[in-house]
Amino acid sequence: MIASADDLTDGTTLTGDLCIIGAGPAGLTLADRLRATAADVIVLESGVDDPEGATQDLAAGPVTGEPFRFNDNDTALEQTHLRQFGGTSNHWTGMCRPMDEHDLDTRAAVPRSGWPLALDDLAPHYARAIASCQLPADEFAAAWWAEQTGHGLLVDDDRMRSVAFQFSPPTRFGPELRPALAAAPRTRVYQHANVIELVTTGDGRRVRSATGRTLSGRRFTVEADRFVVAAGGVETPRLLLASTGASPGGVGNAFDLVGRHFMDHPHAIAGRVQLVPAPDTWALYVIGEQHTRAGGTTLIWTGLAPSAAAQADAGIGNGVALLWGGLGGPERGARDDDKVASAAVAAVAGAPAPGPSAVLSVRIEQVPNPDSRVTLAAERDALGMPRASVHWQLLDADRATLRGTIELVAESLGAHGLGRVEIDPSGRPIEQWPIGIGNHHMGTARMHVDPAQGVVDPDGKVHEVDNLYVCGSAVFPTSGMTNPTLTIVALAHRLAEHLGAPRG
Amino acid sequence: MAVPELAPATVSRRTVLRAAALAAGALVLGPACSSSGPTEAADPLRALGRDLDAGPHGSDLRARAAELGAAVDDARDEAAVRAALARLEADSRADFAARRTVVGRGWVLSRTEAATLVAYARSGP
Repeated sequence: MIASADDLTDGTTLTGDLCIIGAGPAGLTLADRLRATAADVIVLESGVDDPEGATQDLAAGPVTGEPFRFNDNDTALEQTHLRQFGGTSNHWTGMCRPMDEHDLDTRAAVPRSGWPLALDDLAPHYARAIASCQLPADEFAAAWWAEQTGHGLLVDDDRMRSVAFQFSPPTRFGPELRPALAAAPRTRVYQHANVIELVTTGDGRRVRSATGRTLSGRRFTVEADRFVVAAGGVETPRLLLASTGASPGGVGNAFDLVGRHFMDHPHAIAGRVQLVPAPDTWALYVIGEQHTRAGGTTLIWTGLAPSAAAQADAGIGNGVALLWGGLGGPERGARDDDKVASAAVAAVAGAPAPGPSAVLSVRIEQVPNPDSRVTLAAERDALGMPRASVHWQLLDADRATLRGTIELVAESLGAHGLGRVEIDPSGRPIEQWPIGIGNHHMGTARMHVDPAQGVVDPDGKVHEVDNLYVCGSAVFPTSGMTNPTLTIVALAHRLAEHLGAPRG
Repeated sequence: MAVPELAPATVSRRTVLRAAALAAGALVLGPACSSSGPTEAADPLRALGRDLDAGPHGSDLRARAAELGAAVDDARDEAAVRAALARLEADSRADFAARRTVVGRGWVLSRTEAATLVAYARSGP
């Protein structure tokens, strides 16, 4: 059943076995898997099928520290995630790749790193997530994709990896799962159902109910045995922090960790590469190109990423450089005046003409930083709930990862005789580079075995609360360099099985 | 990096240095380096070499440049020039693999190719 909370009688109390707050990729995947159980599941979603301005305004809030910029445009907080049925998948580009194996390790160069899971633990759930995201194949090895598409690889060795990203159609989880959820006898989905507080027992050990409001003024309560907050990396800590009935610090926040360690993937147009002529070996790296495979076309993006060993040697976090074809861009300024690739070199010196040039778009993992955080703003939204306030902070270590990734790419291409890299393409020092975001909000309810170091345990259960779980990128202890959606969906499948969904 | 093909049967040391510098700089400097002759004041290869000479790694690059200058002294015919350029290319790749790099005008260069540019810049006139 899919209904609107606007149609509830004011003051209604709904009861169920499980209440899922948020109907994005995580919440809807979870609800879909739990259809196969005997549990009565209630899904509460702020939005409806189509975007609505008044609902989306509930996501607004101040951003301090590093500004949010996406594709060179200043970006407001409410533009970075969607309160809509299907969540942020409604404007998702579909870029997918699992975490690297070393992303889950404890690494000296990344303080507070280390997941309480290994990649093997996630592997079966990634397999389900690949199906959920409708990816073309379950293979991410660049060598496999090179073979499939008939292209070569620039480099893929123990220092520099070629890494492939697949693209989902992209799956819009709302429209995709709507029919099944609407027909599910034990699933009730309510739209326009904003949760403004979790009400706990006096000791804060159990959530008794979720308090709901609609913008039309309806009030409702949901009582359930278990609750899952699947509202993303900003709204999840906002709800926990705003639920102060038992403790002024909010739910699950005895160690003042909720909202801290906010991470995105810092992006920068941070270099340019001039390749020697080898169009065949760089074709797979041309961003935006479709590749023919098995009679069809597939969008694959392939980038260059330092290996785990190279990152450790350089003392940096994970990062990847994607090669955008073309000569420059607005950040290059006058530097292109005397450096345009040309066949004139061949004419005068007898040297082969330079090959293609490309802009290096680098994205990195940022160090989990407790001072980069989501808090509650003084201003309240139309429902009376404190708005989220994001303070996004980058550390010198993050800048070092950015520069170090480019340097390692430069050295690898040079060592293989493949090209040269220009660093600092803007001509400004790295501290002044414009940094973009990926709209990937992570880490604000991080997973750790120790309650003093993480909000949730390895199952996603809030340490301090017996019947409350968090699902989504909020639980990521570290971010890796890859887009989070595939891992979000994998974790949702994992949590679904923990909550009783058959593995079938 | 591609080694330029050279035609002359006999060449001067400076010509060899220019060829080596061209090999080092052509990829990153584009047509500007190849459209100007070795005696032109605006020679971008020379300008880049001078920048590197005056930069924070100048002392190390001058020492390496002296080694390179001596190494090409015997390159007086095409075969010897090709061999010298091939050695420079191999040394350059080894530098990159060992992370011996220098940034010149924004480009990440191997120590050897940076020294080649310094050697050329210091070869006069």
